[in-house]
Amino acid sequence: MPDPLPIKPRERDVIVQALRAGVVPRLGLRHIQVGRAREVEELIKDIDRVGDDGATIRFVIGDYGAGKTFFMNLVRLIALERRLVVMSADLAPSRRLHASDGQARSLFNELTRNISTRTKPDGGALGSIVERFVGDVLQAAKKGEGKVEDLIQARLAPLQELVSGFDFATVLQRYTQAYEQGDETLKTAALRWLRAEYGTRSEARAALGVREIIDDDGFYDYLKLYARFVRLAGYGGLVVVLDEMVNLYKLVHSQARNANYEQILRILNDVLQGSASGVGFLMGGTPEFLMDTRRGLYSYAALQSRLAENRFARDGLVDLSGPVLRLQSLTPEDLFILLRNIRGVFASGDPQRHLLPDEALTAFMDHCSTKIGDAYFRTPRNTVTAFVNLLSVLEQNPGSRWQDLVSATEVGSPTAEEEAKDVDTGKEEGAADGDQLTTFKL
Amino acid sequence: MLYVGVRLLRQNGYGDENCLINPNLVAVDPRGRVPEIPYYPSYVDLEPNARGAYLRWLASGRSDPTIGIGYVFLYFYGLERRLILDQASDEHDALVGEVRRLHEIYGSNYSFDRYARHLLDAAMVLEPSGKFYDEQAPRTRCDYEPPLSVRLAIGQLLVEGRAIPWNWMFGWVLNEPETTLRTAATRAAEEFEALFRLRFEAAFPDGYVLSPPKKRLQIHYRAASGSFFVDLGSRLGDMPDIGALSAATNRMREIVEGCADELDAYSRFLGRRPDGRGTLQAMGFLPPDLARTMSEGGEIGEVRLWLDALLANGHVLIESGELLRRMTGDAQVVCNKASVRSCREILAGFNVALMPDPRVSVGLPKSGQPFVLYRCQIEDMPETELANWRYAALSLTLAAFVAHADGSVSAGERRRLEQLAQSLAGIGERGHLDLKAYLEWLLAVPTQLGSLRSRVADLSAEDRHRLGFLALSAASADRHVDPKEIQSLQRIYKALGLDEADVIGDLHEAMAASSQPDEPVQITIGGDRPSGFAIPAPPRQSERQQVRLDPERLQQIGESTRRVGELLSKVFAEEGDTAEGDTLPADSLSVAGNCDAEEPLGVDAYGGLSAQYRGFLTELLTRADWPRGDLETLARSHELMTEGAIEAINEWAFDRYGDAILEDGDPVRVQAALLGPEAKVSHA
Repeated sequence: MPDPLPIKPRERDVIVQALRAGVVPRLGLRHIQVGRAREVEELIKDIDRVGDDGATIRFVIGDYGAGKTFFMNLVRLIALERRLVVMSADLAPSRRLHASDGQARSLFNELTRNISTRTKPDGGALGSIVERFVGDVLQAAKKGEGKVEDLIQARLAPLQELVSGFDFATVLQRYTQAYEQGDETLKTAALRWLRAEYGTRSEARAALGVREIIDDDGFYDYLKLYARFVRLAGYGGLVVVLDEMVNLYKLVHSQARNANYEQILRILNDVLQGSASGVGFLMGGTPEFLMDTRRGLYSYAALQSRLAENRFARDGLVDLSGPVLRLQSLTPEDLFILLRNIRGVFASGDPQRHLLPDEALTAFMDHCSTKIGDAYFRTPRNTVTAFVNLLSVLEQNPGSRWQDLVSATEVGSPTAEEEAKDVDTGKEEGAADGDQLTTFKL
Repeated sequence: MLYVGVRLLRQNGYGDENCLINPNLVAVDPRGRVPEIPYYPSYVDLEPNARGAYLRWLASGRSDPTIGIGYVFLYFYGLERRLILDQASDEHDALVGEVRRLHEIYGSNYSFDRYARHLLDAAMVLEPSGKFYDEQAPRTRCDYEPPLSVRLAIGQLLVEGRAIPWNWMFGWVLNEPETTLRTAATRAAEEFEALFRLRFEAAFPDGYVLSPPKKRLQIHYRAASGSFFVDLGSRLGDMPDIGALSAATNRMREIVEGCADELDAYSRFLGRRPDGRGTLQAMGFLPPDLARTMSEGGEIGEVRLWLDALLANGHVLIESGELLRRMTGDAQVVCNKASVRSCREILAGFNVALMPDPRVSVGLPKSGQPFVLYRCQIEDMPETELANWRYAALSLTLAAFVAHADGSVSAGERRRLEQLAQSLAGIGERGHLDLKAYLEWLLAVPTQLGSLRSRVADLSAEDRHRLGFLALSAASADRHVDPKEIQSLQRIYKALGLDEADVIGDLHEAMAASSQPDEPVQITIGGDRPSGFAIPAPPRQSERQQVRLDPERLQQIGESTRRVGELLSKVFAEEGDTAEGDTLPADSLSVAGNCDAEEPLGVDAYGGLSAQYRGFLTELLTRADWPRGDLETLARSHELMTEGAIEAINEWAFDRYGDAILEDGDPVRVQAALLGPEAKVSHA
C-alpha cells in the first residue's frame, strides 16, 4: 500500500461522498492523488514563494480529462492549508481578463465570490477576511492605540501606493462605520463594492462616497490590491486560480483575444520581473489554448517567447521551473492506482480491511472498458463513481462475492446514473467553484 | 613427323595406314588450286593433284589456315599413330608441340578441335609432365561430356583426398551435357569465368569437397583415322571416374545460372557496344564485386583518382548533374531513375555509394541539387530490410522537415536528428550507413511535403499516426517548440492524411511525457518487426476488451504516488498530527502563555487563542447550534464582528486541533467535541 497515512473518519466520509457525486473532494485529496509528485512538489514551492511575499505564475496545461481541475484543486487546498487566500473562477464568454463590456468585472466578481480561506474552503470568505482585518483594528482601538479611522488609514497605508488604494481604504472605513452604527445597508454596499458589483461610479458614490469602482480596466490592479490587503489582514498571500482559460482561445474576435493575452502578458511580466508580490496565478487550459499558432498564447509573439519551454532542459534534465506545467493524459495505469487509493480510503488506510483484491481492480477496469471503451480511463469520472458504488455495496453486504458484483451490478449503471450526476454537478458549480473531477461540464 | 614408304600396316594388319605417303604414287602440282578431299582421307586414294596440294602444304610449313581440314587430318593421322600406337617417347614432346601448333591454327574447326584435344589428353596420360590438376582446365565449352583432362585432374585430386578448386569445377560443369550456356556466358566469357570464380569461392572457400565415386576411370584412345584403338588404362593405375556424377554439377549449374543472370545487363550492353568492354559505363553493368576486380583502364583509373580526392575527408555533396555527366560521359544526361541507377552501379565498383539511392528511396535530386557520396564497403541491404529502411527514412524526413521549419538547422537539432537516425531499429550496418548519408542529404535539401504524399499512401492510418507522432517527438525533444515548428507539424499531419488539429494535443502529450524523468521520449520504431509495414501498434490504440497494464509504468506511478503522498502528508498533517498526539510544540505553548489565563476552561484547551475571543468562544460552547441572529447579538456583546470572529477562532482551531470548530451556515454549528472532554463538560 503506497499510502500509509491513517485516514480520519471525517475525511473518509467527505472523499467517499464527493467521489460518489462525481466531484472533487474538498478534503483529503492527498489520499487519492495519483502520481505527479514532481508537479506537486513544484507547486508547493510556488505556494511557499507566495507565502514569502514572492510571486509566481503557472499555466497548467492538460487535455480534457487529464485532471487539470483536480490538480488545481489540490494546489488550492495546499495553498489554503498554508494560510493563503485563494480566489478561483472559471473563465467563460461572459468572464474574461479584459473586456469593455463588463466581462472582466464579472470575472472579478466571480473571483471575490469564490474567495476562500482554510476555514472557509468553499468560498464566500470575503466578509470573514474584511472583518478579521477590521476586528483587529477595533481591538487595537479598544486598547487605546488610536481612533479607528486613523488606525485603518495607517494600517492600509501600504495600499495607498497602488492604483485605487485610496478608495479601497475608504470602503473599509465605510464597512467599519456600518458595523459600529449597525447599518446593514452600508455594510452590504461596502461588500458589493469590494465584489465589483457596482456598474456605475455614480451609484457607488451615492452609496459609499468613493470616486472609483472596480471595473473592467481595473481587473489586475485590484487583484494586486487584494493580494496586498490579505497580507495586511494576516494571511500569507493570495493565490488566483483561473480555469477554463480555453475560453480566451475561443474568442473569435482577434482584437478581444489579443487584449486578453496582453493582460496575461502584463501579469507574466510582473511576476517574472518581481514587481508583483504575495500573489500567485494558476491558469488552467488545454494544449490548444497554449500552443495553437493562430489563436492560442503562441499566437501572441511576446507571450510565445516567454512561455517557450527552457531551451537548455534536455538530456533527461527536466526543468519544471518554467511557467508551463504539462499534465499528461491519464493512462490505465493511473486509473489502476487511483482505484487502489480509493480502496485504501474505504479501508481507512488499513490494508487488512481492503474490500477487494488487486485482480478485482483489473477485472473492474476490463468491465468498464467493454462498456464505455477508452473513456473509462480518459475521462474517469464515471468509472470512479461506479467503483465507489461497488465498494459501498461490498461494504454493506459482507458476504457477497466481488466477481458477481463486478460483472452484474455495474452493468448499465454508469451512463444512466452519471447523467443525473452531471446535472447535480452542474447545479453545484454555480455555488462553489466547479470542482469536478474532470473538466467536462454540461 | 611423316610416315613415308610403301608399306605401313594398320593395327589390325589389314592394309596400310591412310597417312602413309607412298612416293611411288603420282603427285601433280595443283598450281594454286586445292581440290576438295573426303572427310576420311587416305593418301593412297587422293587425286594426283590433291596429293600435290598436300605435299605443297606440308612443305610450306603446315600453317596455311585456308587449307581444307581434310589435309590437316591426313597429317594428324600420322602424328596420332606415332604418339599413341608407336608410343615414340623420344619424339613425344615434339609431337605434342606440333599438335598444339595445329590446334592453334585449325582449332576453330569443331571436329579438329575435338580430336586434337583428345590426342593431347591421351598424350598427357602417356607421358605425364606433372600433376594433371596443375594443367590448365578448360575455360570454355568444348564438349558435351567431361573432357579427359577434367576427369583426370579431378580423379587425381580425389585420389589424393583433396577438395576441387574452382577452375576444375568450372571446366567440368561447362562441359556437362545438361549445361546450357546463355549468351551472357559466351559473349562475356572472361567476366563470366571471373564471376564464377568469385561466386564459387564465396560458397566454397576451401574448394568443393567431392566423395570419390565407385566407378573407375577407363581410358582408351580411338584414333581419328579409325585405324587403331589403344587402351591407356594400365598407364594410369586405379582412378575414380566422375563422368557419371550429377549432384556436384547440379550445384555448379546453379552458380552458372546465377552468374549468367548477374551478367545479363552487362552482356546486353556488350551487345549494343561490342567495344564497350573496360569502359566506365561497362563497369556500371557489372556486379560491383566483380567490377572491383576488373582491370583498370585509363578512364577507370582517372575516375578513381577523382573520387579519392573528393572523398578524402569523408562524405561529400556533389551537384547531381555534375556527377551524372562525369559518370556517364554524356553531357546531355538527364537525372532519372535509369541514369542514377547506372551511376550507382558504376560507383559501387569503386566502393562508393550515393544518396538518394533509387534502390532504397524515391525522390531523386532535382537539377542543381546535390547527391551525397560516401565510402561504403558493405553489401547492399537485403530486400527484406528495405521496408524498414524506407520507414526509417520517412521518419527522418519528417523530423528533418520539422527541423528546417525555422529556416535553419541548428547544431542541437542536427545532433538530435543524428541520434534519431542511430536509434531507428530494424536495419543493419549498411542500412545505418545509408541512413546517415540520407540525413546529410535531408539537411542539405529541404524536403517538399508534396513528395511525401505518395510515399505514405500505402501506409495504414495507424502507421501514419506513428510517423506523425515521431515527427513531433523530434520537434519537442528539446522542449522548445517554435510556432513555426507547430505549423510544419500541422502540414506534416495534413500530408500524412491525419487530422492537423491533433497536432497540439499530441505535441502536448509528447512534451508532458518527456518531462517525466524516467520516461524519455520514445523514438524507436519497428523494433523487431519482421518485414513489410507491419509495425506494432501504439500500445493503447487497438485494445478494447482486455485491459493490460504496463508493470513498469505501474511501478513508476506507484512510486510517484508514494512520494506525492509523503509530500502532501507533510503539508496537511503536521499541525493536525501534533494535536492528535496531544502534545503541543514549545512555541505554541509560549503563545498560550502570552494570553490571560483567567478563563473558566483549562488554559490548555484555549492555548494560542487571542484573549478577545476567549469569552466569546466560551459562551458559544454552551450551545450546539447558533442561529445567525443570536450569533450577531452575542458577537456584538463581546464587541466582535461575527465573520471576523468565526474566522479567527476557526483559524486557531485549525492550528490547534486540525479542524474548524464553528461550522458555517445558519445556524452555525459548534463542534465542541474537537476541544476534548473538558469542553464537553462545560457544554453540558
